[in-house]
Amino acid sequence: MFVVIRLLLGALFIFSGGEKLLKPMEEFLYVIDGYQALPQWAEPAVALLFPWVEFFAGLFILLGFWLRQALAVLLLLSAALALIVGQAILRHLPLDNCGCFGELIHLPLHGVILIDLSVIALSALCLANSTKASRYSLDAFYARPKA
Amino acid sequence: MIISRQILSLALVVLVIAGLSIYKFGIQKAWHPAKINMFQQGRVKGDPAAPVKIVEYTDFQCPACAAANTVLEDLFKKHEGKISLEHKHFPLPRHAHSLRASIFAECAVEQGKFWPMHDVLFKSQKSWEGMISVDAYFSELAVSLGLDGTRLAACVNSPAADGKVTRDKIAGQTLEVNATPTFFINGKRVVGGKFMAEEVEKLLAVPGGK
Repeated sequence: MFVVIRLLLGALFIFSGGEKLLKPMEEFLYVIDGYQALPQWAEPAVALLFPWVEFFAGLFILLGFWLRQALAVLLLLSAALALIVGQAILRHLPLDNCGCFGELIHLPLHGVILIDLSVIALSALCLANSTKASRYSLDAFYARPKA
Repeated sequence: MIISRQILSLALVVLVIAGLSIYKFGIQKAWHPAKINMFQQGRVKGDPAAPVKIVEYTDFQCPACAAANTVLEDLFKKHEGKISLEHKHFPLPRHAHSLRASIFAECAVEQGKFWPMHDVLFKSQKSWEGMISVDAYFSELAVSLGLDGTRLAACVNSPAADGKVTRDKIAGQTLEVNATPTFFINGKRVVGGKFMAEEVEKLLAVPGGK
């Protein structure tokens, strides 16, 4: 079960990061600006780097490579996202789409909070059971006894 | 021989960044600023020779596009004669009435009323976005602007207007437009009214608008 959760989490974040990476950066910059949570000078850097972090965290989790570290990154990322989306809901910001998956999938902000909380719970679960989650992974390959 | 974890990590990161960068570079090479002005269909406001040329891909049912339209109106007042705006239809599938709104606006072109229709569609967006059917409402708006209702009815039910809207959308897709409002300001892409206004002000702060 933990392996399935790991694969699902990895695939989700590869998709989410990859979708943003393949689209013009200006579109994600516009999404970030809509949340009004960052100083304007920081927005371009976040728009540039965030999709790469999402993508690589997803890739490393999917492959089970540096799994504990990648899960910790995912946990932090999801917690940050939950905070940013939460403040947007509390401030009634006029966002009809979260922008999490570009223009491909549209989710209302309340739905995104649920997804974020689920990701946090599942990442924490995998982190707490990282030995089981590491089955069929590169970490397991490297940890096997040397002949 | 088994490669070390560190080397494998580095190789993965480098390969993925290189792969995605080559892919993106390929896409960017495929679109050229000249394509921004393909399929010009006579929806230009302001002096076409103005130093700041804005091409806007917009959706009449998108709230951010309505807000951007207000920003554009203010910019036109503030910088009279220095800005031109070309409208491009980009109705998003998630907005039920966007396509019909674009078709009605397109049909207003042949009666010389595109911009009044354009503005009234944005200003009344909140009134019609929740309707089940919008044709009667849009016809009322058009007639109140002085459009001939009979000519309009024939136009909005013909495939020609739909074809022009579709051509705009295809042109936008070739330029990698995915979200609205997307602007090309003297060839530079920006998304959203706030960034558009910033770019216009930046260009107009430079003599010649370049």
